[in-house]
Amino acid sequence: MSTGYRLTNSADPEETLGDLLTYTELLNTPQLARLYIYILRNGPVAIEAVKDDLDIPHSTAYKYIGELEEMGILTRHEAETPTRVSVEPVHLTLDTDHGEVVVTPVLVDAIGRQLEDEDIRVFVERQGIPKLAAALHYTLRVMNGEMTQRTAANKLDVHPVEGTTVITALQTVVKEATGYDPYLEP
Amino acid sequence: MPAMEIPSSSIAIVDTSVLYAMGGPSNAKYQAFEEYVTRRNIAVRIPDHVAEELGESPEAYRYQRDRLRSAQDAGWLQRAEVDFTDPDVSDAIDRTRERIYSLSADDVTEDEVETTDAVLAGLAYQYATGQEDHVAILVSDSLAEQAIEDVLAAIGVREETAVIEGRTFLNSLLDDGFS
Repeated sequence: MSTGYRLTNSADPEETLGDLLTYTELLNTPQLARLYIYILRNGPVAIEAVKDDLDIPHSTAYKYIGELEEMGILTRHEAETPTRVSVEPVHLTLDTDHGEVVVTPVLVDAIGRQLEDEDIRVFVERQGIPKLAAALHYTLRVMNGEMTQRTAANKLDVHPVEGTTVITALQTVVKEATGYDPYLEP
Repeated sequence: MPAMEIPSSSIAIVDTSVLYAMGGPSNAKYQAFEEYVTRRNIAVRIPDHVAEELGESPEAYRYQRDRLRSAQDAGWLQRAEVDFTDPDVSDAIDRTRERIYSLSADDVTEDEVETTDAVLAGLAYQYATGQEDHVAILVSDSLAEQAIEDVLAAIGVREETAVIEGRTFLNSLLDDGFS
C-alpha cells in the first residue's frame, strides 16, 4: 500500500491560487480596483469612456485593462467598434480557522474608494487593508441590525470616532454595491 | 417635505455618525441640513458625552471635530448637558443600554455595548419631560433606532418623541431640493 505524500483533502489548487493572486492584486492596487469597479458597474463600456470618466492617462488605462485580461476576468468585445470591455464579478471563498470568509466586489470597491473618499483613505493609512475588510464585515452587520456602530467599533478595536467614521463611509459603498455585486444580499 | 418631518421650533438631538454622514460645510447634505434646521428654527443638540468622545478621537480625525465646530460656530448646533443626577434620566439610559444589548447579535458582549449610544435616549427623555413639545432623535443605525424607540415608548414619552434614521432623512432633504 502506498503511503506517498499528500495534503489532506486538497483539490488541484491551480484555479484557486490563480484567483487568490488576482484578488491580491485588486486588493493591493487602489487604482486598479477603481477601474475594475467602474467597468463592472458600466460594462460593456468603451475603453475611451473608462479613461475619460476616471481621468487617468491612456497608458495607465491600457496597462490595467491588460492586467485584468491576463487575470482572466475581463472580456474584450472586439466585434464592436469602438471595442468595449466588461468584467466578471469576483468571488472568493476561504475556509479558515475562524469560519468561512468571502471576498466579493464590494470590498474591491471599498479599496478603490480610498482615492476619492477621505474617511476611507485615513482609515486605510492608519489601519491597513485587512482592517478595512473587517470594517466592511461589521458595516454589513450594523446594516442588518445586529449591533450599533459603536459596538462594531469595539469589535474592530478602534476608537468609536474612527469606527463610526469608516462605517458611515462604507454604508454608502454597500448601498451602491447592491446594484452591481451579485453576491451582496440586500 | 421629507416623510419624517421635524416640527418647527422643536429640538433635534443628533448622533455624531449623522454629522459624519453630512460631510463638511462644502457638502450638499451638510448645507441642506443647515438650511432645513435654520429655516424651521430647530435647535440641534449633541449630548456632552458624544462631543467628548469626538474630542478624544485620534488626531487624524481632527477634520470631524472641525465639522462639529463649524456647526457650533454657525450657531445651529449646541452641546447639551445630560442630567445624570435625575434618576429618571439615568434610568432611561440604563434601560436603553440593556435594550441595545438584548437586541444585539449573540456574539456581542455586554462590555461591547457603549453607554454613549444610550445617552441619546436619556437626553431625549430629559427634554420631553421638560419644556419641549417635541424631540427628534437622529441616529444612523437601525439597532440604536429600535432600542431608543422601544424605551422612550415604555417610559411614556412616545407621543413627544420621534426617532429618525439620519441618513434617510438627509437623502430626503436632497430629494426635496434643499440647497
